[in-house]
Amino acid sequence: MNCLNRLEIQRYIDKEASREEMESFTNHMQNCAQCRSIWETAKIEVEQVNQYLSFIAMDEQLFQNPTFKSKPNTFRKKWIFFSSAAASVLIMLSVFLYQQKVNAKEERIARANMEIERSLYNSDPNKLWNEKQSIITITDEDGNLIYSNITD
Amino acid sequence: MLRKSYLQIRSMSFKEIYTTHYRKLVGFAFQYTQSVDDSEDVVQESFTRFWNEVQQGTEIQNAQAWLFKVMINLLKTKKSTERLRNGKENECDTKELQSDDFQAEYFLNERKKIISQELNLLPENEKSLLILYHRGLKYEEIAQILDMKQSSVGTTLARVITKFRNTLKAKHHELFE
Repeated sequence: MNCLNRLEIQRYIDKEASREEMESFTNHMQNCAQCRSIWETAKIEVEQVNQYLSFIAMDEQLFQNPTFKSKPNTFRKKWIFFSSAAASVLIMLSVFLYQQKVNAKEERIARANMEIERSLYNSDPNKLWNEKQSIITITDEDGNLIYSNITD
Repeated sequence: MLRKSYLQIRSMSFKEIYTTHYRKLVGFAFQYTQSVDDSEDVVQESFTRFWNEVQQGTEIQNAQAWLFKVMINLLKTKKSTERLRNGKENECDTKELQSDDFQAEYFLNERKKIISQELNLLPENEKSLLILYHRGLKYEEIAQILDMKQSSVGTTLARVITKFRNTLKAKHHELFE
């Protein structure tokens, strides 16, 4: 058997080589100081790295197996979300508009008085009544002014 | 009736898969993220995707490799969006440790922090390879998960192990003598 390098020795350390290969390499190492040295160094490297990695590991047994709850797939989830959102907005809008309608107050005036004063000044006797300047005022029962306008 | 019994068989096997692989996956994810919450989230998400695939009728031959692949991709995505709290959880966990020897505790925490940092500096595939190896997976399983040839697992591993160990010794020789 030929000598092995560090990369080739790895699978012998991990016992991934076949039994024949292992036996052959073990016999070879007994007579080859170089391979023995690489083997020893590689073993130390592997042990050290495994030790370092165990520092940041957590014992698997500490993790509880929680009960699995299947979720709907993403598309279905998105579809449900968007349709629910649209329905909510529609309902809220309807409620808002209904409230607006209910709250709208119709102010009714029992009786209104309309007074038209015509021809205050610059009166021209030749003009018709609807061509004369007039002041129109509309007041409620209590005499409060509701509307006033001066016509041309 | 036939359909129902088929689903029952499938759900039973899913339960078995879930029970068998949950701890393996979460153990790997913890070493990768150093966060219990992130690990559990990512494992749950992987199983949810697995479940959806099974429900859609996809036949998954190797559940372990499939789950690990999905989880590693999720972890990579998580990392790329910088949502991983690297080292924070680790610091919190170690703070809770009670030790008579304050100096020993300090060195242990420092080591954990540095190992986690150096591991994160490795390329994603090398990092996954190292953790999978440390968790005791066989070359065949590693090759299936990382989509590589079984024959190249050993040589790649040897290269990564030497590189990781030498980096730690060179940069932080005071902690890793």
